Amino acid sequence: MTTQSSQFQQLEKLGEGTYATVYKGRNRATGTLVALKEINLDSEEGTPSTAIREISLMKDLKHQNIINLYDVIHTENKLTLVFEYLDRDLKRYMDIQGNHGALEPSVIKSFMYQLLKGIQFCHQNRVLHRDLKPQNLLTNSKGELKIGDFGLARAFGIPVNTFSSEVVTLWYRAPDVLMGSRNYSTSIDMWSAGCILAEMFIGRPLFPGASNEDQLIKIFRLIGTPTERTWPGVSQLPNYRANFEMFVPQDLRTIITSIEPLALNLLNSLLQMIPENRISAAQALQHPWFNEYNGQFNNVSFDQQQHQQSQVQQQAGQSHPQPQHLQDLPSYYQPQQQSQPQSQSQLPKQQHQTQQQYYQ
Amino acid sequence: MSLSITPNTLKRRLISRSKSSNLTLRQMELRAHIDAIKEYQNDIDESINDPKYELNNFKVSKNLIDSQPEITLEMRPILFDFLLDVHSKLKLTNQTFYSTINIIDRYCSLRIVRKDHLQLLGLTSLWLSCKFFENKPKIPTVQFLNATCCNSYSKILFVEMENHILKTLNWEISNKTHDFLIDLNLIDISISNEMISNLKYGCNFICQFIQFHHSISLNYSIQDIVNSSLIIMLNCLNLSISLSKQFLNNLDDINFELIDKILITLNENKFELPQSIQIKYFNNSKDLQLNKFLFPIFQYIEELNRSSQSSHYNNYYQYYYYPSTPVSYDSNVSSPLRTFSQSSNSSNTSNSSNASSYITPPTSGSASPIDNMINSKRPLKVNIENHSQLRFLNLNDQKRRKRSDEY
Repeated sequence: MTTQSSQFQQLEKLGEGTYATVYKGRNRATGTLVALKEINLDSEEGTPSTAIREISLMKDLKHQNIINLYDVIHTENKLTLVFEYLDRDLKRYMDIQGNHGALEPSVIKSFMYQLLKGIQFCHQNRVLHRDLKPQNLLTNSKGELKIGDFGLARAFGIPVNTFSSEVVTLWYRAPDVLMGSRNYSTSIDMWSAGCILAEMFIGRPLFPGASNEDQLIKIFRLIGTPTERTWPGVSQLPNYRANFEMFVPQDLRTIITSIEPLALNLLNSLLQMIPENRISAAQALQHPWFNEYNGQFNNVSFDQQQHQQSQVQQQAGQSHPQPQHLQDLPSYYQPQQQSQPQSQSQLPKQQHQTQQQYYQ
Repeated sequence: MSLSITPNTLKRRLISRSKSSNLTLRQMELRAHIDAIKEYQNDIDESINDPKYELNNFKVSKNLIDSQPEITLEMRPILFDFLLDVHSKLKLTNQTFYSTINIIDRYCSLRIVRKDHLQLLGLTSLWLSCKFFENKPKIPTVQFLNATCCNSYSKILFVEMENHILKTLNWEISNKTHDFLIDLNLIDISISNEMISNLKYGCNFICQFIQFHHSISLNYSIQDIVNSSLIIMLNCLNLSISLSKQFLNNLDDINFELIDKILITLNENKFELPQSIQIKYFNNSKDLQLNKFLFPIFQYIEELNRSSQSSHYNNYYQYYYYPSTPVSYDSNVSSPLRTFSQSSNSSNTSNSSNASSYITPPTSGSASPIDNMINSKRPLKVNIENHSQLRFLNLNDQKRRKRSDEY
């Protein structure tokens, strides 16, 4: 930790959080772009717990789908975290690249696969992210997706009644957490992943609730209101009310018209009301929807393969710029059967090199 | 001095209290927790057994701590006693205490600590652990911490110390604590929840007690200490249960020497427990019977003493090493142990045939030394008569020496 903050040139502001401001920065020596997360230190309370957790947890999390923490610069009144820089977050990506925010199925699949890979790695390392949302997922022109912002992350492992229920941005918060269960576990991240998957299909948040109550109603309207019969024990949850408005489960296709059957199946497994029934990241990665990434074609019907191929061909003919999101990825991300349209690469190669220089 | 209590904290406490008194809710939550851990058990096991983990991250060097110019190992129990007291006052979770001590030890392995800064180091480590493990409302303020040590330090010192610890430890706070390993070992054990919480409670008591004895806590790995405390507790509570697979895998390298040491230390200190432990577990009294969950430990030690003094000293081993002696070891039952014992080498076949009158040991591989002990009905009795209360343990040392001679 000998890095000085003067080593980085501070560029424009990228965002402002509750306890930190993020700037774009450039390493003066190598020219590498970085994200600088600046945290002001309170002389009374020292280093904020969020920073301690974020840094301590991210030190163990080195994965291609998780933002890399390069360095920590600790001065008397300021703490600067130096992160890997990616062009934009998923939210902006959808606004810019998407069709009214909605993305192409093949892009969604690639992003979803990478998101689940990242989540799986967190969970394997006993880390709950607890704040998954498009704004915290970062993408680059290579089509890579990385999970960022571990400010709310916690290590899990001991079943104590200690977690806060004020986690996860409301729209991506799981129903069990909304109803006051605080001993949630990995399932909390999987619900958020489901919301993100749906959002990539429809281009807008799936459950944009205005309040805790409203959020629950929005979820019930689609997934159905839980009862003691469908979810034994639900009435024990602190925020459960017996007079919740009753809704019957809806077919998600009424909202997400474009969704293919396998993706719908995965989405349904993620948006399970009962946390224990929610699919885990490891299971989700084995879902038939991802067969092309897992190198298994046996389970996919011929029709589906045809369907996928025709989609790829459609994309190839499309006029609007398509990110070459599968081209530069590690081999296991690349669909084995199809050749992706090769578009002009802009800066990715260069950037890659400079990042390597940074390590040296 | 007191923590600031806002209406919000009060409300939270109320909710938390009402929730913790709700059995159904707690069971739901426990189930969810167990599911999550089971899902990733292999990965977690792997990361725990990864030798890199012990070596790189959380290696505490006893030699380096011992070579500190100003502070001595004898100061540790005094500091920990104070810290556990503060810890109990703040009603913090067990993992915070273990983590605090881990931070202190790692820091002392890397930096020279002045005698008058030892308490500052302790309190700041506690502060850091709280920030990592506890909920916001439970994190103490600098004022509170400073008040616990009679305002001996300036507030700035706490912040400076915190920075220094974080830099020294390279921001690695997230270590695997004793109670996490205890929980992991008990995750797929099939006994009642009540029994499990008794087990956990007892194990945590032993592990916390052990922290006060550097001859054990600094010489053995966390994993070893946890496994030993579990074996002791299983024996104390007389539980015949099917141990988790993880536990069985580790059974091979159970450290019997460590179990002895823990029992000796418990026995030697049972009337002089650290004040903070007395307060936390025995209502600030020396009467061990006050805690009905922990009294079985001391009863068990008594029993061991007696059985070692009587002629049935063999019972000791039998009672002691086969925590899950039960039916499931019957040759017909397909317990995970079966495959275990079959796969292990059979260098001790002669012994096992001799030992057939005893309950089949869990693993023939690991049981071989035990068999040796059981079979060698040699001059042990002689020693017994010359020793006082603790002789069963001395006896054991004798045996061990004999064994190492044989090999």
